[in-house]
Amino acid sequence: MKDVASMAGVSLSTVSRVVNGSPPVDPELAAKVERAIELLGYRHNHTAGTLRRASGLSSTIGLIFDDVGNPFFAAIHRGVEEVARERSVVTFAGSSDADPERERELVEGVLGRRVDGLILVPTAHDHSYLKRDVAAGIGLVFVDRPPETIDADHVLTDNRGGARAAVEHLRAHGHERIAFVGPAPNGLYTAAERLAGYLDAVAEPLVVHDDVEPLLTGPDRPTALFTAQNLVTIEVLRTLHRLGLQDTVAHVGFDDIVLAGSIEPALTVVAQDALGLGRAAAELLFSRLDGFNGRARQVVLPTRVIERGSGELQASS
Amino acid sequence: METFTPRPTMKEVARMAGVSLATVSRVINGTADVRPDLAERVQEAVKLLGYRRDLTASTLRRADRQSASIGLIIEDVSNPFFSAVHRGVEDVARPRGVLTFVGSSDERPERERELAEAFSARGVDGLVIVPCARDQSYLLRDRQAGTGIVFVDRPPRFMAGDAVLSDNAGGSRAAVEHLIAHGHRRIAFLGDRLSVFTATERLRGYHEALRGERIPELERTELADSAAGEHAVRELLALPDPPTALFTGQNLITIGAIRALRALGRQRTVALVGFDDVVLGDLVQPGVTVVAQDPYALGRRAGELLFARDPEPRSVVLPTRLILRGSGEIPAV
Repeated sequence: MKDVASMAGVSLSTVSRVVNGSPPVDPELAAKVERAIELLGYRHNHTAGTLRRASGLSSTIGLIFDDVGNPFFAAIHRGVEEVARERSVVTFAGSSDADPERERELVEGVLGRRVDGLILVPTAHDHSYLKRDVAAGIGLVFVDRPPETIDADHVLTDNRGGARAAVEHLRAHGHERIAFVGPAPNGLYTAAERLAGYLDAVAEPLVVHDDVEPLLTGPDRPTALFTAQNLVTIEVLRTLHRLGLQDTVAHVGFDDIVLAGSIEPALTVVAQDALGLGRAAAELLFSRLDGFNGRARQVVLPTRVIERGSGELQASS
Repeated sequence: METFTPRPTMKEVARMAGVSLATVSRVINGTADVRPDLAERVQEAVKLLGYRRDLTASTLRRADRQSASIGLIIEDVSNPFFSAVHRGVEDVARPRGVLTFVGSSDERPERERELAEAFSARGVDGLVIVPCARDQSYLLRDRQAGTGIVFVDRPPRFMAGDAVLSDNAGGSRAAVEHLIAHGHRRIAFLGDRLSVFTATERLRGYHEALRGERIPELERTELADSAAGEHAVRELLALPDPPTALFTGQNLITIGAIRALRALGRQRTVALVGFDDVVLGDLVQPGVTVVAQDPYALGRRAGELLFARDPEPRSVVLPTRLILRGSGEIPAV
């Protein structure tokens, strides 16, 4: 800034006023300063400005989720970015790999870099350590899974309702022996909710947490499968195709997948709106940063069944 | 109701631990040895107060300006190809305690530049960029200022710099030669916008494979998404002399082509090879033959070059691999 001042032949405070946009400066001087900035390639240092500015905002946020490489989380990321971009806010993105320790490191890492807020797909169960940061004005929003030990805004999919709808859909096509295939909840919110939705709607529960092949090749095969997560769905599809059962065993998956409409039979899914989750989370976060100070809010997005064929196979008697 | 508590300062830590500010600083920054009992008191106070070292503040004070953050600019964070690049970069940065800013350029030059400026203004130590602008010389200033810069997927223009690329032309040549070997003499190329480096390289590979075989060129380019790809395939197959094989130059176009072929019931009669693998490519019928790149490895190599900080610009080209699954082995009729 000093270099800019000496080239423009003005005082340091004049440069500062031009750069920060207040208070107003004589247009002639302002033009000189702007020319010097252009020539010198001076760039206003955001972090330096941050520390001095009363608002204390850095226009950066942190986003932490399981894995940037999973299309579901990548879509959440895109949703967050679309909202943040309108405010010229940039995003740190990090993968916790569903490891609580790694999540904590990332949280500390982004907060140490003075983000204005944090959007978290939580893996750990205890986030009470963030109370102090929230009290100090850090925006905090949970997405996909709710917080457990801290009161914070959160955006969820109606996981339980979606799973229930999937099973009811299969029952409407004559299926009674419907297996749930998905990760064991182990405290994972979405897994527990989807399992609960399945249990709500099924007559005789048949739950598989690992390889589904023994069940499919066994004596009392289910006539339909509900797979509770995108990566599980892909694995099960491979198994069904390998065993040649794709036209025999009905299948509904939770989460849509690219090309799900192009396989045979096309895959019926319960789709959630991942982009919408990201967008809603960012909107909640920015409303906090804009000064909203009310109680924690919960936003629940609905799911929808997309019929494509695999979920409409009738139960063979 | 919780009361407002400002961020704890180093001063408060010093007061609680009953030591000097310098001692706290030494413990937190690990710059000099401190008596173990004092260090323990400081650690205790840090924990109780919830003190957090402020990396942005230290950035400003330090001569080396290491903010322990880098910026990544890709075309679209939600495109699986770029998500994998992102993951590769992250996996190199994270063990070094470095966090990654990420943004989508959406193939818009001004957006690339805005993101680069935004990341630089936040003091990033390095940038990994999938360039889309026609000219990257705007980054020379950042490099002079000490910011490491590596390009990935596409090389920079008007600026020398490290770049990690796939063998786009070679992979495409192999794909088209594969189709020729299955008897095809009418092979269409469907590609992305020709302002995109990888699109022109893949088109070049297509031309090279046709050269000498006296096979006419049949191109549809400027296809930016799967809907455009789907539409182009429908048009091509409605020609009086339609192609017997398609080579799609990008994952979204491949997805569009699969949809179009299926909708027309032509998936078993028209051959298809795609550049880039696609999810479920093994389960569609027939399975999709692809030229696979390794986007995760592209990201990793870019991250490694960034941290290696070699003064000489280097260009790394990663090979592609043809995966035969059926669609590319359909013979010409």
